[in-house]
Amino acid sequence: MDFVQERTVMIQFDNVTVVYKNNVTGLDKVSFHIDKGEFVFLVGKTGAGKSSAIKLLTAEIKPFSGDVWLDGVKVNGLKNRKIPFHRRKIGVVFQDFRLLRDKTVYENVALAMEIVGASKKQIRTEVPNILRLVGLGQKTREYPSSLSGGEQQRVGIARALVNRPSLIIADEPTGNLDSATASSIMELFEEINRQGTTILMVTHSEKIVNDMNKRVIVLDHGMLVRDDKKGVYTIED
Amino acid sequence: MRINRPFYFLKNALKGMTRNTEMTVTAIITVTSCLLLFGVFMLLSANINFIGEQIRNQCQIQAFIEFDATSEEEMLVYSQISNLPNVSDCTFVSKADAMEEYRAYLGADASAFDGLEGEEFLRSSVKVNMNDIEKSKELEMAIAAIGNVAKVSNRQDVVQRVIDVTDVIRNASLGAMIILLLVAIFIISNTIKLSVVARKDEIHIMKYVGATASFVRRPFILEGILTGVIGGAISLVLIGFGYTYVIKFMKDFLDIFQLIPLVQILPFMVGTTLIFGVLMGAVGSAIALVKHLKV
Repeated sequence: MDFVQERTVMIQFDNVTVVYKNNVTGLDKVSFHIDKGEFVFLVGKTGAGKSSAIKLLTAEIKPFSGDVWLDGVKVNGLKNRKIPFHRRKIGVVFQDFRLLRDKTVYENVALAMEIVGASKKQIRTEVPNILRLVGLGQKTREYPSSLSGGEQQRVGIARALVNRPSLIIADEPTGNLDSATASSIMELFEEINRQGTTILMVTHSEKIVNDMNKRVIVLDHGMLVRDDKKGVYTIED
Repeated sequence: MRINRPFYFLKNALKGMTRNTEMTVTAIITVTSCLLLFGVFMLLSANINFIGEQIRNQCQIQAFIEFDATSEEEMLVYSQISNLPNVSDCTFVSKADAMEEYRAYLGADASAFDGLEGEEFLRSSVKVNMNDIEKSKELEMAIAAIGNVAKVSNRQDVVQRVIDVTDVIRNASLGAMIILLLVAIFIISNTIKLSVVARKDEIHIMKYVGATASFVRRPFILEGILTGVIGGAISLVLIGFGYTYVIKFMKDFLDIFQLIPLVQILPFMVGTTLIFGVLMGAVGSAIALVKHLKV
């Protein structure tokens, strides 16, 4: 059965093991679940399995064993042609922003809507709304090169949000930003979370994890070693 | 109102072409060269067939009648030949007619025969056209067996040799055309590969936002097709001018065989070249995408 999840669960990993072609274990019998509307930090050293977890959710890889569920759908059971539609439920924010240099702020965000086949009218309404929400209402015609790092990340967040995904995966979203800018970006994420969007954030920032005081899942060598409801980032993480 | 998808893909395809202007121009020049040579071989092949038909039509058997046969006997030979199978039509050439033909052939030198009549040294003959040139040997033997037929002239051996040579040229042209198509596909594939590499960030983002594989691939396929069509169109213009010149040259200096008129072959050339341009572009792009674009 591919649709057996409870409706309150957004993400569920059931005994998931990932083994890569070179026999490296990405994840080792990992189980956890994240409810809808939660804000969760996924932390761990390089090679701990964070990227494997994200790739499983975005259906870039399949588990060697176990199942991954997202919003009631078994991700590893999806047929290839269904994967793009699955990804539309997820908004991904990258550490390096990944904006298109030859497109304006507006066009970068509109691209995400064009891809899913939104109408021109929808795009004209939604893009300015979402840019206002992230605080870039006045910068729609600017190019990424003329924006600060924080502003560029806000464009990245707007692009991830514009199709109203039920989950935002943020991969080190403040990794390239100074601490003041990082704080304002985190405030934005908190606001988005308050509006009901589930957020799974990968980070190495001890300050951010400790300041936010949210749930923390810690991976180490592919294994889940800690899952605290109101966690902190410890030196071993 | 939904986004105008065809326009969206076309816009992106054109953007892809202008992003790598140098490579795009190189690809168009290569495709033009390949399709130009392809067109030349195609014209060569078509004209060889055309000329082959003319040669076949010129292939005649001539039956010479015994010198001392009476008019009645000559008419009997004519009637027996005309009733043979594989004879499409035949013409009786009297001794006087043969003299006229000979004089016409000699032109100014014909005066050497002034005062002579054909009856004195030329034979009457029957010129025979056939339905099936392949069976000319059988017809030749059947004519030779008729009484009062002195000699049968059949140029089928020469004609067959010409046909064999044209077959070789046609097959070589076909081989060359296949090689040229493969070269063009390879070049288009490489251009699209570069275009994919140049747009890898955009493709990566599109993938994460939930673009379907066909949505990502379509602009690249279109880019390949546009390269093929532009190359095809340029090559057609060049072929049109070149062929007009060749027809004029053949008419002015080498009026042995007639070439296929441009207006007659143009629709076929346009259709074939553009279809091959589109196919080359699509196949070249598809190869590049299968190799370099995992969505």
